[in-house]
Amino acid sequence: MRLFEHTADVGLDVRGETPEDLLRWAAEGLRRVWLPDLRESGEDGHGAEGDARAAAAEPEAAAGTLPVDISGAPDLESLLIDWLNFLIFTLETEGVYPVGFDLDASCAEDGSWTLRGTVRVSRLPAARPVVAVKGATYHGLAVEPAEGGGLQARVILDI
Amino acid sequence: MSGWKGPIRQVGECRWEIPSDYKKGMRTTGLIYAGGKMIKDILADQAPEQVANVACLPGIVGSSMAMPDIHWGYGFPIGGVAAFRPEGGVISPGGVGYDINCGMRLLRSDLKWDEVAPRITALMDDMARNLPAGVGSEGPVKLTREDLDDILVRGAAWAVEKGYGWPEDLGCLEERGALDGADPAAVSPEAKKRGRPQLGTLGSGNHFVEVQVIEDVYDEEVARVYGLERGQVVVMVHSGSRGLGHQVCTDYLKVMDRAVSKFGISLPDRQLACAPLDSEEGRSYFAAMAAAANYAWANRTVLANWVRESFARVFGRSAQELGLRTVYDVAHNIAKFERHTVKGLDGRPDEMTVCVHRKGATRAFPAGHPEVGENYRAVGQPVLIPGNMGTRSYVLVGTERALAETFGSTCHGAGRRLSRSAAKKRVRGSELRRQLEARGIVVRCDSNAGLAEEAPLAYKDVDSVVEAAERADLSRRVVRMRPVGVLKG
Repeated sequence: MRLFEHTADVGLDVRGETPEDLLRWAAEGLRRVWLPDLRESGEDGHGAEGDARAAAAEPEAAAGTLPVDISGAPDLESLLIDWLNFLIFTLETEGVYPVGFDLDASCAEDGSWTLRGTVRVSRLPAARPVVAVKGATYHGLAVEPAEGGGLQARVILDI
Repeated sequence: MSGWKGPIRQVGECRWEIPSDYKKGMRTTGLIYAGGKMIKDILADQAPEQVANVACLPGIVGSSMAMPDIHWGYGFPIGGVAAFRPEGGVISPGGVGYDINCGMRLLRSDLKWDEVAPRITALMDDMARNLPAGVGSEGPVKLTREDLDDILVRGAAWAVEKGYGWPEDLGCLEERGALDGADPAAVSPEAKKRGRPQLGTLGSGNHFVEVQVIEDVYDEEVARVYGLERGQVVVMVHSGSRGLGHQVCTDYLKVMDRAVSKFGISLPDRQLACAPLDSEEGRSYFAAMAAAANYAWANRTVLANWVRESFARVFGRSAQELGLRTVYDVAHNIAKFERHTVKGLDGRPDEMTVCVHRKGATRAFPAGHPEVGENYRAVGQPVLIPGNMGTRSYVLVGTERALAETFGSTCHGAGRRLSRSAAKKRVRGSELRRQLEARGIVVRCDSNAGLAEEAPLAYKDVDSVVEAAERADLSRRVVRMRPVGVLKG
């Protein structure tokens, strides 16, 4: 998984052996956008008190698990978008982000996708600024077989 | 990503055309408004391709346009303007964006900079305490479900009725702070869950409150009508519909993604998902989008109330005594039905209702337009242009040429030049904070990384953007402001 630049936004390039693996790595990418490593973010940790407090505040304990039940996605690309938007909704309304996954993605005969399972979550560090993500977009969205096996995906987040 | 290689030619002062035969599916030309130097930057990424993509949408009227602050977005470019016929035309959430009715409000005051300077630090500290900011931030306004539904229909009028604004504010807001046609039933429970705790919160990203001083007046007569003069302290508020608007966009992109195949619409970019304006999906999105827009107008009204409270506390006089009146409030991300004169099917001018999408663009109606409130009708609508926290902002006025050519639209800000991560590689937030404070700008922002993302070098030169808009006669400069205090979400 890697993040790539887009003028106003940020993109995720993700690879996974299976659809579940792909979705797990996409969630990890989202977490890295929300809570970038302080060194990666270009900060020295000695500037604003907010960032310095944040460095001391991590990590937070797991807060629990959330059920996942997403259905009716017409293709795997749509399932990826629905999954990321579910996590964005959960972060904003529950104040938690994903740290562990038990997921089962399945494709029905009509080609539609379902995702069921649970996600373990941690509470957002109280003192840590979080980068806002408004939504996962369909712009430039692609999920395709990866060279050497498995799947690769590209998705742009609006931040 | 390499630069854009398609055909483009200059067709007038600050006007660049992408021909309608550039790519299959284009129904009209693309038209980018920009100066000669700016166009090189614009061609460096794929924003012009997005202008061409919008030209492929059914029922488009006139050109697919982009204002001088155009930059690469998703679906529509940021700075994009496009209008569609009610019959045969479409509405697209990607033409409005996630932050529905993200916009600007400007408050003026009777205070001069020499009166404010000794207390600017106390003022910024008070506002930092008084204005909730950050991702998912919650405000002190507790809403019942009924309150929220009322806000979604009545917008700013709800906030004024509850004492968060002044009755005279309403005459100074685009659409008087409420779009007709909003329906709370079209807004999902998820969107309402996000919106209920967030009224009166700034949010994060590029949202801000900025205290500014008017340093130059270009049009004394118009400035006088707006209540603005040199040396005066004003306050700009930049926020939108918060999580409620984001969720409405998310929900309806999904609906529209399915509608595209239902209605047999062919799209060059899936993010342009849309539905006919006269379809159930199209009507439902408009009703939800209008509701989110109304939430945004209520939100900026409450935010302005927190600003007024802080001024009153710090200066020991009421906001009324300080003359903290609303100058204007404009939407940047919205779709609206408006009356415009367009070329009819027989080639002759025809006045008709069209659905104008503005994504990162500002309405700029001229003097005499019936949609401009009586207070400003003699001179035209104020257009509020934030620069960035290190440089200048402007108040412009709308023009007849804009009304005739761009459905009465102009630019909305400086426009991004660098990605957020590129900005952070160029400048450390802590260093930027020191630089700004050394120039007398008081900065209140919890995150150095967030500050660096919004660094002045990440944006185009706002002077060039405004100059291009003026040379193209889409708007004219009225006053210019410099920042003295920044509160960043």
